[in-house]
Amino acid sequence: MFVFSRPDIRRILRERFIVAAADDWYQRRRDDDVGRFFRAVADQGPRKGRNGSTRQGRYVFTASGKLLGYNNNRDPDRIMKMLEESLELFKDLPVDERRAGATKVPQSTPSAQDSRYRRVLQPDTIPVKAFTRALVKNGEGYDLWDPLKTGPKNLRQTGLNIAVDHLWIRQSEVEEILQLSKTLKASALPRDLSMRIARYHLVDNTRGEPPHWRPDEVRVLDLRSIASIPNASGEQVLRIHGPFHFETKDKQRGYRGEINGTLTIEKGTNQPLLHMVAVGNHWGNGPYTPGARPGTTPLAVVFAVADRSQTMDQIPPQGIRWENGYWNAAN
Amino acid sequence: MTFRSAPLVVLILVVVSFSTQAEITKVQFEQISRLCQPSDSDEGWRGIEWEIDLWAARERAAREGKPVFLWEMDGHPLGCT
Repeated sequence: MFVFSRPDIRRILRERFIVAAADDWYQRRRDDDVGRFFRAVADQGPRKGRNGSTRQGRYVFTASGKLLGYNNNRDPDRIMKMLEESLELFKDLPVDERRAGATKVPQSTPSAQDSRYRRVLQPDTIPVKAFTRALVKNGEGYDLWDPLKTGPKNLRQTGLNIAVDHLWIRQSEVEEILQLSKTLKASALPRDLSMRIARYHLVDNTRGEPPHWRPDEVRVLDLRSIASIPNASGEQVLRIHGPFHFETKDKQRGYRGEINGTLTIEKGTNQPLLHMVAVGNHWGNGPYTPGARPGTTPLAVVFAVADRSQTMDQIPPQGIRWENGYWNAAN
Repeated sequence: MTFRSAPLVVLILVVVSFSTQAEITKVQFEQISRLCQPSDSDEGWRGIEWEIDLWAARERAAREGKPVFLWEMDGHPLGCT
């Protein structure tokens, strides 16, 4: 992400390009116009996806599908160089190939797209941001993990930043929680929702793509909600709380902690505002996430309802690649 | 105590009982929420108008006469890991 913290890169992208981002796992598999177009572009570069392998990287291409540049490097200088060289190639194309309106792009309707590899935020789905960060204890509170101050010098300098994912909740699940809260007892959250949060979102994704928890690795999970006394503005507020403990069979990776938060329904709306904090001690690496801190160390995940009107808040959860497994996470 | 006030007492008892299970304090809750809030430098990419539908990006590129810059990763670059 630090590539885009450079103002000159942001400026050239904003002014000279149409900027897009996509999950290669879907793009390289989908058997439809979108997938075929992407693979035809990628095939012109070094990432030909041999035997279905990854085609990840940064591409520049025309609307007609001509590749102008490719780079899979995180060095901002090299990215900038690739962008500038691509613009030169674009400028050298015949005018009829690059002027506005020159390329006719056929329509690609949702029904013509490969539903196995297409995930779109639906009107009845609530997107929730999930921010994960490695922390350290600081007295009674917490602080950012700074390995320069607190960690061994030879520890890989990874996992310092905030990881972002999206939790998707169905409106019907919120309604079920509200219905149960009428009993004024602490009620268990819908099991699929609890397990979805646990298995796919209470993970250490600060160093890359983590393994999700298998059902038999969920040792303790007891997320409950209870209605608080309505406040003066008539908001309906539910407290959400519960312990969790996940651990692999070999005990080499685990996460144990508590979730606390609120689900608020503003008066006169049915728009839920969810704000939860999960914090506890995590340990161990995943196959693609080496470099964990030694021992058990604090890790937090903060959930907050996203602004669904923003494109980047409509990005599907990492765990929804297997769609049925994500929604029916208790099974 | 009258029967009319009993439900309120029950509610308060339930809330108090529920509250005692919490391990983190309100201060810790707010502190962790703040620590996990991305800063501008974490999210420089937010200042860019991203398309997350490749076909829509292609249509815009044709309409506006610009090339497409596509960031393609295993795991969505803007929203996963």
